Amino acid sequence: MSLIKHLNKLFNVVIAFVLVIAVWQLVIIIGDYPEALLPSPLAVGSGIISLIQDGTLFEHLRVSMFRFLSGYLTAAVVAVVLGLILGQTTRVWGIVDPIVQVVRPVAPVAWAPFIVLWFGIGNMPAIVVIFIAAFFPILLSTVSAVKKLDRTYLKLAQNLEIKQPAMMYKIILPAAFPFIVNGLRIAVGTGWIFLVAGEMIGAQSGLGYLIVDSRNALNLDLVLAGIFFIGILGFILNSLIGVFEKWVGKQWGAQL
Amino acid sequence: MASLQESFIKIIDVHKEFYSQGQTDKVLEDINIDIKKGEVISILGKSGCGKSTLLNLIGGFEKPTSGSVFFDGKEVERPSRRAIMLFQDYGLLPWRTVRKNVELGLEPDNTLTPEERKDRTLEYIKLVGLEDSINRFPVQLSGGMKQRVAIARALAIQPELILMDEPFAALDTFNRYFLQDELLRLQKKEQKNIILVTHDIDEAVYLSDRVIIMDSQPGKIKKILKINLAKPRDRSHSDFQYYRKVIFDSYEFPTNTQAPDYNI
Repeated sequence: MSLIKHLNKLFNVVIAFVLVIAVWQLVIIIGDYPEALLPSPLAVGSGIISLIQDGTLFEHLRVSMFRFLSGYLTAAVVAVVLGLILGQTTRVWGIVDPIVQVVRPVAPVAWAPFIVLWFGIGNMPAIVVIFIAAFFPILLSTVSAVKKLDRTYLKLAQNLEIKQPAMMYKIILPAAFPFIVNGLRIAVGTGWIFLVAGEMIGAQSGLGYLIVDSRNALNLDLVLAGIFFIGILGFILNSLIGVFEKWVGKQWGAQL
Repeated sequence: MASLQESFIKIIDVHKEFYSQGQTDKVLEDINIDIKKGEVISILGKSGCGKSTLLNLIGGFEKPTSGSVFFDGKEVERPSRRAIMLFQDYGLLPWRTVRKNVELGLEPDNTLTPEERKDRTLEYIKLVGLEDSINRFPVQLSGGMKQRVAIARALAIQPELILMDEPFAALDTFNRYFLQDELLRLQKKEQKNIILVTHDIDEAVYLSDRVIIMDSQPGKIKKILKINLAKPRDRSHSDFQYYRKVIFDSYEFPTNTQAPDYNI
């Protein structure tokens, strides 16, 4: 039963890929577009293979993953800790909230000039951009999770005379965690989206750089190959955090 | 009033009001109660009569608008480990096993060594008969079992007073009867004061030494009834029925209001 389900799912994925490639090829045939305007699936495919064969792909991938994880994990730790504190202090959050609401809608790359001035070039700009992109969803979901906390837990903690900081890591963090995970998942998406943008600022490696560099050399097939890998990796990261979310749900006694 | 036995919990002239949207809502009026050590007290009333608020005041979760609550000679200002509340929805942490949930109550106690903590946890889990479920999570337990975990956690702390907010309301009749007996057995063994809030007349008569009958809007004490029956009590005995009737009659239920539509 479950095997059939899995096979069915895999089959759907195959159909989707075939469909996209067929439409793409058809557009080229019907529109008669030159290779320089829209590379053919075949050209992109050989681009992908050449990237894998000469190993540049894995170098870019490694660098990108390192930057993503550094930015994302730092954001996660800082945002969760801040969120736990801010969620418990109504007054302070009342002051911080307007600031967050104004800063949040600004695309992280808009800070690029300052980021380069303050953090230089190399790994840092991309890490900082990913940090900013991931920070706000996690912060906001943590604060709202703490605010929505079941009153019974707080009464229980009062009654048992559980004091800070034990209160924080024994009661508040675990009680809020299933909701925080929701923010963590959203942040994987936004963080990954801004990877390319981050690597366009003063980086000499990474998947984002691969795209910029290929564009400058007018290798559009490699641009598309880069896009393909970013998409696939984003998908994998999302699936991983989905697995994590499910595991948390199970540990926390969520009923299915 | 001087009593021979010193009162353990004393509630003097307590009034409680809530404010919301510019309106004052009188919840409790003129509450005076004296409770002796070891007594089991039921607070009985319709929903909305302020009986849960009264329990929260005794536990220190809320403060009276005027008047005071004394617990063992001292005015109650905040919740304490000496008076443990059992919540209606059990208050178990879903991410902790049965063992860890019971242990939670002992963790803030610095006088216990980790060994003693472990032993006492086990002792009380055994006392409520859950040693086979020690590593299960709350979601894997039935309502009755969850309540027993909550009782074990409360008893393990060895408080002097246990407050129960409709502890068995969510259980079916069989489980309720069973747990009521368990509670009496544990109370006899540990000699705790218990104050429980209920809307179940049968439960009040079965468990308590005295029943506080509340009137609603605003919540007032209508009558305090002493149940002079030896425990364990027989629910079908005529004396039991007598007390049931006394309580029943203190509420004005509409009787003989409507004649049947048809006559033969």
